Amino acid sequence: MTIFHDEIEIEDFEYDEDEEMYYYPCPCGDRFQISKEELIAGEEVATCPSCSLVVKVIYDLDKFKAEADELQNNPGDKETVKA
Amino acid sequence: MSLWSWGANSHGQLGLGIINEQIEKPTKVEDIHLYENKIKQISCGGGHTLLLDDAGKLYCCGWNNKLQLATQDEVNTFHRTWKLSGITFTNIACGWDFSCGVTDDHYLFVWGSNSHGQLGLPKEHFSESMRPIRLEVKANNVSMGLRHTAIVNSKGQVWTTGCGKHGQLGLGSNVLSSDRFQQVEGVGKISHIACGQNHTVAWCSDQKALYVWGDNKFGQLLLCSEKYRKLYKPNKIDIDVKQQVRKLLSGWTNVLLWLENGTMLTWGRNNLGQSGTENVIPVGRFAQISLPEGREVKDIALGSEHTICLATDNTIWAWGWNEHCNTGIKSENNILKPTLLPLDLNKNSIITQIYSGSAHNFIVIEESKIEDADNNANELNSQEI
Repeated sequence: MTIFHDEIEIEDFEYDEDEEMYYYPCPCGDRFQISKEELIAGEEVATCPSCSLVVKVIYDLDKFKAEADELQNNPGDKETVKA
Repeated sequence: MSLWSWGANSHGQLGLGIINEQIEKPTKVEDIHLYENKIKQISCGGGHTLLLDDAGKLYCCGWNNKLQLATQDEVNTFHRTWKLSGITFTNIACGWDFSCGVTDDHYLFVWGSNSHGQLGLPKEHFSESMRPIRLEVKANNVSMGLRHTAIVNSKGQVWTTGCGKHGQLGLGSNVLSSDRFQQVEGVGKISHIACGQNHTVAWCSDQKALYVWGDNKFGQLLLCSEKYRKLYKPNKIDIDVKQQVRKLLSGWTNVLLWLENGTMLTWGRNNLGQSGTENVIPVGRFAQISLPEGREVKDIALGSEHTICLATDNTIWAWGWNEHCNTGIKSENNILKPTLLPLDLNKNSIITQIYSGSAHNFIVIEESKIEDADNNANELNSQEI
């Protein structure tokens, strides 16, 4: 069983649009991270690249998927939507 | 005088000229030029470090992704923050990825991340990563947490800004965020303040009372977490302490109160040995801890999940989370009680200052001149003989 250092709501993560990654501070000085792709796949464990601590991401999978789909189908580029 | 550092170094925050996962034992910071000045204070953020010399000049190293260094570049040795040259600072503080300095005329400069308004700068007018800016705010005492800031002014009033989702601003349940400093109501004249991950603790020396607000998930507010999960306004707690407080410090989710008579009281989360006692402390209660063999405490510093403590006999004792050798003690396990940090000191070396941040630490060592004189005298004596 995974021992979580904490449980953190998705809205408390910082999102990097370019990397499509979610970040939350880790007490070691680095950051817990989890990708959008992983979250869509139902992964809920955010890991820190510098230490062994992990946190559980609290989010609504269905809602998250729906929002991600919406963004994908409507990326704000009319040309793409037409195509 | 020499500066030594150890612990996590993922962003070069130890000032040792390298970036790596960790430095396992106290290591001398060689590449540092303070222009004949001495170190007055060091403050450790998440992955960055600020250093203040006794002429009020500022130096920095480590992570700079949010401009928390107040310099252009990320550096892994201590560099002068030239952007702030000409300003004399008397006090500094670091949050996770933001920083501040109090000037000799008590004005507050802030820089770094303002993602949650933690710099007290209205978000509609200022970017998320800020270069140093002087606020029209006067501060005597400052503390920065993960995403919030608290200051105490000369009247002992507390003002907070930043993320308040867990009640850490103490401004009531309808203020879950603020991007300008607002006064916290319902506290006495505050003398000490400390911000944790999502909570704030304050001490009123006039009343000898503790005030707490914010997240209490792990009993960091010294209250039962089942009954009080979050407090959005200050709660006064009488802990029956009848003396003055030397320091009130907070880790991410644990708190330490160091009293005038040398007693140390700790409470909050203890899953990694943060409290320094192997005994189980009921949530909402404090434990008293002491150094072995009656040693007296000279100074103490808290990281996110560990503590280092300097004793008057020139030894350092440490406890808590140890994954990055945060405690400086070579062990793969967490250190559950005050344990001696091995240091190979010269006879004349005296540890004068200790600092700790997330998972990194600094100590200042000075060579005793009196002892030198004694030694010289001894040498002369022996020559005469």
